[in-house]
Amino acid sequence: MLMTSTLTKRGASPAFVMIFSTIFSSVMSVVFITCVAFSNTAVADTGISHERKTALIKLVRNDCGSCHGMTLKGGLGPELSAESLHNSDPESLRETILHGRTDTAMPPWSAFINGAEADWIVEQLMKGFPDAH
Amino acid sequence: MRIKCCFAILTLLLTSCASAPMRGTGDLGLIIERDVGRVQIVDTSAKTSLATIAGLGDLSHASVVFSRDGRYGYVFGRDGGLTKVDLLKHVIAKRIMQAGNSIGGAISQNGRYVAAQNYTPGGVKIFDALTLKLVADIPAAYDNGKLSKVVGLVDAPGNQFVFSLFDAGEIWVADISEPSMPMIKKFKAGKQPYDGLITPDGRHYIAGLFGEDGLALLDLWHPEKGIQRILNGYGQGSEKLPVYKMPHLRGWAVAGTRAYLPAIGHHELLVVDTQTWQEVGRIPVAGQPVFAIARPDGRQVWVNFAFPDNAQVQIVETETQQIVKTLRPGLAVLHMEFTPRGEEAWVSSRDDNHVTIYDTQTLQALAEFKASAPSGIFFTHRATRIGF
Repeated sequence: MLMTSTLTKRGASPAFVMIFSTIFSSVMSVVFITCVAFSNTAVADTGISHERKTALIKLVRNDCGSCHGMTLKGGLGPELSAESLHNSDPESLRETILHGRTDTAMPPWSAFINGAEADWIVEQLMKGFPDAH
Repeated sequence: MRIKCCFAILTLLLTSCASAPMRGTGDLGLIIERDVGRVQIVDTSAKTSLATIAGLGDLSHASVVFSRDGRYGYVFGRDGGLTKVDLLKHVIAKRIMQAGNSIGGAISQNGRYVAAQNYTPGGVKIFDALTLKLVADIPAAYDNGKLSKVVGLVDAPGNQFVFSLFDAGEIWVADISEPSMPMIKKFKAGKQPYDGLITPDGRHYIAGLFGEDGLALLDLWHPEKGIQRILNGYGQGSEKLPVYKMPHLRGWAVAGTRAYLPAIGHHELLVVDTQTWQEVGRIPVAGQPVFAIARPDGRQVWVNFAFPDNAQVQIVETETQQIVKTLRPGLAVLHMEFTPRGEEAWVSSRDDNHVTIYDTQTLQALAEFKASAPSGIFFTHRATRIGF
């Protein structure tokens, strides 16, 4: 998702982007499967361990969920479903997570989440966030 | 003779089958299991869970008010579900979907109406407490038809409901003496009211403001005087810290003649005199307070905290304004509820999946029981209190 948006920004044709992302995601799933096959603490493409990802999913569902709802359908904060985010810019979502948003109730999470983790959360949100169980 | 005797025994057996043992509900309550959409019915005398009821929808944020006879709990779920739970028969008596996204509710002074406060569509809906039939819909419209999220809904004397509009920055007072035609008075409150409370005597409504250093106070005996700002500029001179969970306000904040209110963005409780509404002290605490709840006798205030300090509960002794103990009931403490006269406090720990019962005199844990991601704990004595 992040890769796709970067390419689009640079002016690549939509067809190329589609082919590229298909190849890219196939490659990535191979990488992912390989990692899972060889290690329990899989550190796939992102450098984030399986345990940490589980913790991040719980954090998003429970603590981001305080305002956005456990099902991410919104509350005091806006809805964070894949449909509601499909026009959002991943870069700006990342910045919002890490540094908060002035004049709103959105706090900065950079004390608990690093840049790569924020990217991973954005990626998951944009394709439909995994369940906590 | 033998036949007569058999008949008597048979009659006795049939009668006892037909009716469950009679009991009141004064020592019962509901505990929300937020991740599985269930509630547990609990007995605070026996310190035990009596039943689990499933099928209440999304309870990731939920609150409960009780019918004035204490028999039914009205559970307001996040997904707009409103469920009437029968505490005696252990069943769902009635359930409706009344909105898309809801935050809680209240019950009217006379017990005849239940009101839900909603984020989507922003507004308040009022239902007949017996049938859950809609009797009034109050869209929280502002600024040429935009709808505001509604927070801080409470009942008030005179069959009124009072609530705050987060996006519009207003407080509305709805008189439902004629329920199909609520009379509404509107007041400018300040930036982003996040919750509200009514004092136990039903006279003062206070909205906490997220967007400003201060709170908005409305004297319901004299609404013509308008909003008074209290604790203005309480955060000046120190940096505002991030708030990872909004505090929750209710009349439980009042102990004696003082109210203990969470500061926003500061790890402090603000102490305010409820006669003069002047600040009379500040108590540094372990994190961003979420709930500050006075024991019914007002001698202690129990405080829990927002992420990341949410594994602790601190107990303030009101006489000395000092923290006398820090408890660690479990991970992600979400709520605390006192038994009717306060000899025990029940505390829920979401991430450890348990509820701990404390003796409030010795501050020792007495018992603990399992619950799935427990959040709110609601005891039936709320049925008789203004603002609950």
